Amino acid sequence: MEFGPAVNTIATWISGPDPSWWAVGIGLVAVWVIPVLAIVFPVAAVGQIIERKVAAAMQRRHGPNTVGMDGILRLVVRLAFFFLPRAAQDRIQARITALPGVGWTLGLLQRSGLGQLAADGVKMIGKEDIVPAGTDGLVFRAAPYLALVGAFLPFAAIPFAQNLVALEVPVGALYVVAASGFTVVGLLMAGWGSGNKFSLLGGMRAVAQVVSYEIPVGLAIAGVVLWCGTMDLHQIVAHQYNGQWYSFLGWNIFQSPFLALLACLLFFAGLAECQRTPFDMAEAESELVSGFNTEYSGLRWGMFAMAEYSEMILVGALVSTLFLGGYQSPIGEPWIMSLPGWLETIIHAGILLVKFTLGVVLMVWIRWTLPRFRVDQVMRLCWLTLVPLCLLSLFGLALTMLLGGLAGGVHTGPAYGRIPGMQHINLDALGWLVTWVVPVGFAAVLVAVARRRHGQMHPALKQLTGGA
Amino acid sequence: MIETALFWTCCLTAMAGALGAATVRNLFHAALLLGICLAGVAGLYLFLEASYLACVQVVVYIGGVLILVLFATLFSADIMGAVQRTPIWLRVAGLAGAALAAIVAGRLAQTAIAHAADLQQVRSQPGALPDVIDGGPGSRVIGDLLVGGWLVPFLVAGMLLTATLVGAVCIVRRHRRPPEAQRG
Repeated sequence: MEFGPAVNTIATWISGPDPSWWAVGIGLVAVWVIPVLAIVFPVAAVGQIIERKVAAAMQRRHGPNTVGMDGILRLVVRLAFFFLPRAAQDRIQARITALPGVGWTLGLLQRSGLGQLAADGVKMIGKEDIVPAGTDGLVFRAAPYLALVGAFLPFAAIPFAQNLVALEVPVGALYVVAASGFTVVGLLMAGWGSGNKFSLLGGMRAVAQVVSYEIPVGLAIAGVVLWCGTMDLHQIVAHQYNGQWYSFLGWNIFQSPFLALLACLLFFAGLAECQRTPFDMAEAESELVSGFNTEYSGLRWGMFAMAEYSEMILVGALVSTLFLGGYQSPIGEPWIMSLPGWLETIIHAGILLVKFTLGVVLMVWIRWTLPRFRVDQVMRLCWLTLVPLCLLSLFGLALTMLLGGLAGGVHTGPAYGRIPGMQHINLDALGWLVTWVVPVGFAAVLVAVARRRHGQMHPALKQLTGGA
Repeated sequence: MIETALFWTCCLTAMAGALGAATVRNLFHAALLLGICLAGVAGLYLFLEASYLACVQVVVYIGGVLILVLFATLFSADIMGAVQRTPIWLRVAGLAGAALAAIVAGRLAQTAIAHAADLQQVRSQPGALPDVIDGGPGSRVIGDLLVGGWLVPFLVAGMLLTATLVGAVCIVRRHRRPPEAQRG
């Protein structure tokens, strides 16, 4: 396990070559904690607003649009001009609001509901931290921290930009799965520690679900590892660079229909790991009184909410990194790489932000579209649909690589940043077309034959989906 | 200095977790302490530069085995705050085990102290430690071995685990009478 180059640069800058441990610590804070605080944390916080806004848009209402920024402006003015009488402070505020553009911006911010964010945060911090009688003290108190640790640890290995990666783990993909495994221990501890039957049921459901869905997640990641020949997330990103201006065609999702299928499977299994609708039977309000977080209040409840939104971002970032080219732009890379380092970092991190935010919005969209699955349907979907599809894709992918390697051999791709060129299968346009047309055509023929024989839906498929 | 401190923290965490798991009366707490022990061991793997092993330790033992142990704990009856009584024979066995562990630990420590100088000498020679120990190639070597020469034992172990799982399901399954028998 190596620290990223930026960590080492900062550490050597602080305390010279062969940096001391505290300098490395400062470097880690700068490269891991600051991106998490500056990129993941705000999106996780804004996630609540995104959720409410998307839900409102789907239900043809406005959503949060009342708590505006003018309150914050007023607060700032009061603090800055505390020595003036109130009437004067009001006049100053009115002047500022009347400045060109300011009133318009404030109105926009108000309609966007972003003020709600600050209000919710203040409310959450101000609430009493209740530890009900009958809870298992330390287990109950520690659970939210463990959930949060499991949500934030994986981001250390996600490359946000060329140099913005805290840990260069050679087994990065595995590390992400391992580190996010702490969350489920936190959920189970919360369910048990609450001393509440509904919470316990919620915790057990959460665990059964997460343990099951880790298998499709692992298999989907294994597919990418197979294709790229490495578990290092940064090398996986570099592997997806084809050196052309249409660099999006090099992304894994466009390489093979099996990889595209694996991307969808990873997304849905990740959705289930986040415990979100339609997989939210662990906190089903109507059956379990919100399950494992029934007894939590204030900041501890907030930690669970934060962990949930961070996990959504993690799933989005993981799908982007493994299948959508990571932080790469879809229209070639030279124009970014030729920029000064700090600008390149900001643009790359921004591209990854856009990609995973789209993933988060998609998850919210799904949540407000689909009803909740039953317990047995969730398990059936995992074991009888996702796992076989994952295995099928893995097999197809291995076959593609074998045949492609036999037909065209391998070549070394273009170098990307500080990562040298990696091995690719030789696929010209024709070979690429064949890898797409043959499996998709085969699947289409299978579906057509099955339909002719069994009508609209194959009985086995009907049983798989629980008659849905 | 900090590395030594972290190393001892990992060691003490693992040992304290193991000790707690063996002595705490509450079954759920014991399982959680086992998790702390396993996390400490994962930390020790990191000190051996075996990041792959550390990750697998966390995935398999904390994310898998520990969770299933906790799960089984939750399913067993009467454990909500139940205090498990330790029978006297188990205490005797525990004492015997502790004595055995002390003997083994003493012998290990003796060997380590006797050979400390040799080890230092080996370490100081360049290229003395094989490349396998470094994070990257290590995982590559393990992968090559698992799907290369050791493929059959690997698959047999997997089959064994699957058979164990199926067997567990068969044992636990409630034997219901078929509906015809009920009617008759």
